[in-house]
Amino acid sequence: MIARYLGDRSILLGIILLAIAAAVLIIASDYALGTTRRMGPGYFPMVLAVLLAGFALALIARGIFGDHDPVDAFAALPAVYILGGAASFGLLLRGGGLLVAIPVMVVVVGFASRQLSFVASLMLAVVLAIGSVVVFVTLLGQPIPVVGDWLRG
Amino acid sequence: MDLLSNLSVGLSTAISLQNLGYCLVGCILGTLIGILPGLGPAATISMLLPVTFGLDPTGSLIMLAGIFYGAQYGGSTTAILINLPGESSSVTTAIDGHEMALQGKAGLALSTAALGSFFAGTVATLIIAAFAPLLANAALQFGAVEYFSLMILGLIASVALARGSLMNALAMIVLGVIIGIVGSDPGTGRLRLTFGIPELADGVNIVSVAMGMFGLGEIIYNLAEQEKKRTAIKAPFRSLLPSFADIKAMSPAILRGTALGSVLGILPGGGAMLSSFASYALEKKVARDPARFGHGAIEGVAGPEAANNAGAQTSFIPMLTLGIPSNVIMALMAGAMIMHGIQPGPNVIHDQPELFWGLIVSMWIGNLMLVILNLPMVGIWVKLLGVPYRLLYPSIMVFCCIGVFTLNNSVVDVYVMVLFGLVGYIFRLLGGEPAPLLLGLVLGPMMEEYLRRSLQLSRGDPLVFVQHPISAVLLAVAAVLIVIAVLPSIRRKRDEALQEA
Repeated sequence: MIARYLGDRSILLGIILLAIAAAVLIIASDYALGTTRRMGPGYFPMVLAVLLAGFALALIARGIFGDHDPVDAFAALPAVYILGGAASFGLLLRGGGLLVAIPVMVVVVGFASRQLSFVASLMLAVVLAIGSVVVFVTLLGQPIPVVGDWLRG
Repeated sequence: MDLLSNLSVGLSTAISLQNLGYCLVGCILGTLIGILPGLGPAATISMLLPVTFGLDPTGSLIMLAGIFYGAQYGGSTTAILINLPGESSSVTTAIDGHEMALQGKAGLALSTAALGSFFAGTVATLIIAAFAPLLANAALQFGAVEYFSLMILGLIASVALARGSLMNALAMIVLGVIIGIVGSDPGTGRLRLTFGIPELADGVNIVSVAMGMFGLGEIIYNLAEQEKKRTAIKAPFRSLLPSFADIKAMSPAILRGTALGSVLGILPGGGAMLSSFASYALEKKVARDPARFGHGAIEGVAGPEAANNAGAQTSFIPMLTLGIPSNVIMALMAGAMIMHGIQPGPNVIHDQPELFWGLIVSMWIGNLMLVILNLPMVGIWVKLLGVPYRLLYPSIMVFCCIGVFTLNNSVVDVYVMVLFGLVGYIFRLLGGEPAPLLLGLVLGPMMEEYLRRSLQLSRGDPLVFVQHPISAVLLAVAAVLIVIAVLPSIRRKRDEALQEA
């Protein structure tokens, strides 16, 4: 029974949105509400949070009383690698520069594809690292660190 | 006549070597991504927004626009030759187009698509040129109250006509607006919802969100499915020229498609995809022998192709004249204009005539370039389809990450992109579409401003929105649209129409 409810798309979406609405409501209540005539910083966020909560509850109701709408499988593996790779780029850019951040990201992201061999991803990593330095830093003149703080000694 | 003088201003702007170059780059890129599955105009445009920051605004918009309607052309090529629609607006083209290809008429299908699109593009350009100034002038009468209601209408219309659950989409819009107001409150300067992160003081970057939801989200989605191999049908050059009989057969469909697309494109929520689906349904209805459809009916290619191109171009109208983006691509273009310090709205035509008319004329020039790119050069594009996705997506990711970083030289934007990649994927699994969220994100801050001003003017009376006649009409139309979208009988017909293809 519970499993059926938790596996329903509308109910899950509703729960998530309800949580977000509640969070916004709590945070916005700290801001000055003002009056309708002179809206304070908290006014619009509160209105939106209430609206969102309303939709969220409607979604949950639809999930409970309507047809069961099961969630598709969550492709955890590709998501982890893709998002993890991009996050690692962010983490490594300042410290390692493009020449470190890009290869690491490409290799991590490469694990997401069953058809991409590790060797191929390494080669691709090198090509893309050098290529992006040439295109973005040399040709387009963007101020991106090529070699980061850690390596600059 | 005013129209001619405006067009000549536009022509002189669009013909500059620089702008011609931008147009060509845009069209080539558009064709490319139209052909390559898994990469759409939304992701590409958001990836290129940071790059265009350094260019002049007219050139940037010309290029980005070229990507958009170029993708409509490219998508039909793969739809016909490989039965793999590169764009959602080419899904209908694949039905009869691929059948024609299997019957040895690939060249005819391709030229039908290209000629239909070109005709539609020309007509759409003229419509924009004639119609836009009128609309902009009318909108100058609008005040804060009317603008607020117009935005509400725009948001609701954009989801009412689309597929999927209306309630989900509305919830996504509200969420988008909430994310949009993150940052400093325009009235008091108070930081809202920034969680102590200083880089968020200027708000969440639309490019990061777009790249996360469309770029990264799309990649995750594609990788979750299997890589499919398809063989392409060859189309030798000589077979590209249609006979007079063919032209006679395709012309009525092209005319109908152009008309339908032009109208549907202007409506918020309309655009290329809706136009092509509607055109296919229309052609099937008016055909003397509907059984031909699905088996290589030339009208099944001509109509939708004309419609999707007309729809794509006329969908610029609400954004360029009223400042209301009617779909995600337009929201990104609006974002590009804002990045260059230009506030989209009715003033753009008057304050920046070279930008406006230059863009309009270059759209026609772009259509011309695209016919050349797509017909004789089709063989080159087909070879590109050989690039395996496993080499493509890491390259796309590199581009995304670097691009997002260069916006503000801030790693926070990269993290925002990752966050929205996750959020976008989860929501998509649960039935929450990313497009309404992005629309809410773009319009949110403006809506708050108009709401604030309206309530100040009315001294706190919320009824002001129905007391002003124009605003009342706009809100009434929005209400009608909601009713239409929700009524079971109409909803079934709409789902049927979308299911057809």
